[in-house]
Amino acid sequence: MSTNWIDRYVAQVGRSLPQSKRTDIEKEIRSLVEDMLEDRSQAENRPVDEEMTLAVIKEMGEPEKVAQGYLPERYLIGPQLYPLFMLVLKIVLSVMAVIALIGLVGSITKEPMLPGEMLKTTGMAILEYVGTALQILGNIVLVFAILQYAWPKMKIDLHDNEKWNPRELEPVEDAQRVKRFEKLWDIAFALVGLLLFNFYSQVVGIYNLVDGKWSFYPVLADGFFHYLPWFNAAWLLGILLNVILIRRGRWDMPTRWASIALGLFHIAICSNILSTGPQNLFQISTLGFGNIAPSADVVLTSLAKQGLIGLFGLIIVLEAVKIVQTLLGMFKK
Amino acid sequence: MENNPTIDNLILEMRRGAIVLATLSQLKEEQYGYSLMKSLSDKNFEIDQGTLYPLLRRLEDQGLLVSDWRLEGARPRRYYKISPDGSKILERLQNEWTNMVHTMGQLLS
Repeated sequence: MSTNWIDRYVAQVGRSLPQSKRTDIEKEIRSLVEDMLEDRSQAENRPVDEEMTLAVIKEMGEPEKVAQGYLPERYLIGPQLYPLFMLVLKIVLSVMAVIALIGLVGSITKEPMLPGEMLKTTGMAILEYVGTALQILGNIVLVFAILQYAWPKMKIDLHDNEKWNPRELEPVEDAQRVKRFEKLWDIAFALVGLLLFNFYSQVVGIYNLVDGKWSFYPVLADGFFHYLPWFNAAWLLGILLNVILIRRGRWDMPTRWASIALGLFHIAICSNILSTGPQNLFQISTLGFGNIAPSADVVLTSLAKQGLIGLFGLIIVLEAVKIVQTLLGMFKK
Repeated sequence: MENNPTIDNLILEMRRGAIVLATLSQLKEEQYGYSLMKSLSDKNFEIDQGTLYPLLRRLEDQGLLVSDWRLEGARPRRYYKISPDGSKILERLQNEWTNMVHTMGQLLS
């Protein structure tokens, strides 16, 4: 009976050991238990029995813990690869978030929606994002786990101390500091936009010199003036925020949230334009512009339309990236 | 203060380096694991089997010890002994230890 317990114990330790070392370590542990029993039997001056065997096994400790002592530390993703893993994860998940956000704004603004529907669409989009994010997380972990496994065999050192030069250290950038010059530019652009489109819109157009005579083609269509109040609001709010930022000199929570809200406002305007057709904002027909044939006009008009869709799409992407950056800035010390 | 895990950990870390030296020093004559543990314990150097046995295998993998299984009665036992390489390293470690004791003595006085 007593041997039986030793067998069980040794086998249980063996289950947590790699095949290559199992037999040898099992033999060693059995020998140790027997030595301990012999010692105890002599000390207590009585023969080995079940009770004594179990007491010694208890003293040895849990089988899994004993096995652990024989194994090196094992990682799915080790400390060497972990920073790279986190970096890749952050980039991929942020890019995905931006894409998901664009998709969401696109589907909300495509057609008029009730608030309930909008909430449902948003909820579905979030669920979908979480699902995809988990899937991608799994894939990235898998790739890194394979890397981790192959790592010792590849003998690559991520950090070459010999090559490292302290002079290449990056200057410390204060994430909370407002870049005043940048903000001044933003204000200037917004002011130009406000003045130009509200008071001098009649001069916005293309000037063409034909046969020594200047001719003028207006570019802005009625659709543009329909949106102008919204543009004005965005510019004015932008100026207000930038003035506050320049005065304070530092970002803080309220200004960051305001900046995010403004970014979302920009995205909303652009999405709405995209859904109603950006070609309605501008005169994109080239007929009457120089000597362009009607057949060429069709191509040019279509190109211009695609270009405008691309332009507003790009603005949405850039605004979304800015929002993500602002969010990240919130958590940076 | 007695059972503070931080202190326990610090003491464990401090002892960890000394364990290799203690083990190598006692294996000029061959011994099996349990007898080594007993003889270290008799000299007031306590070490549990969960630490000593894996350590003996590691030192053997590193070429500092040699071992062989021997049958004593019906019982197989693995005897460990320091290798020629191990002896050289023991000497180095011993010098290092003496220096460290000297330095620490100065730091702590």
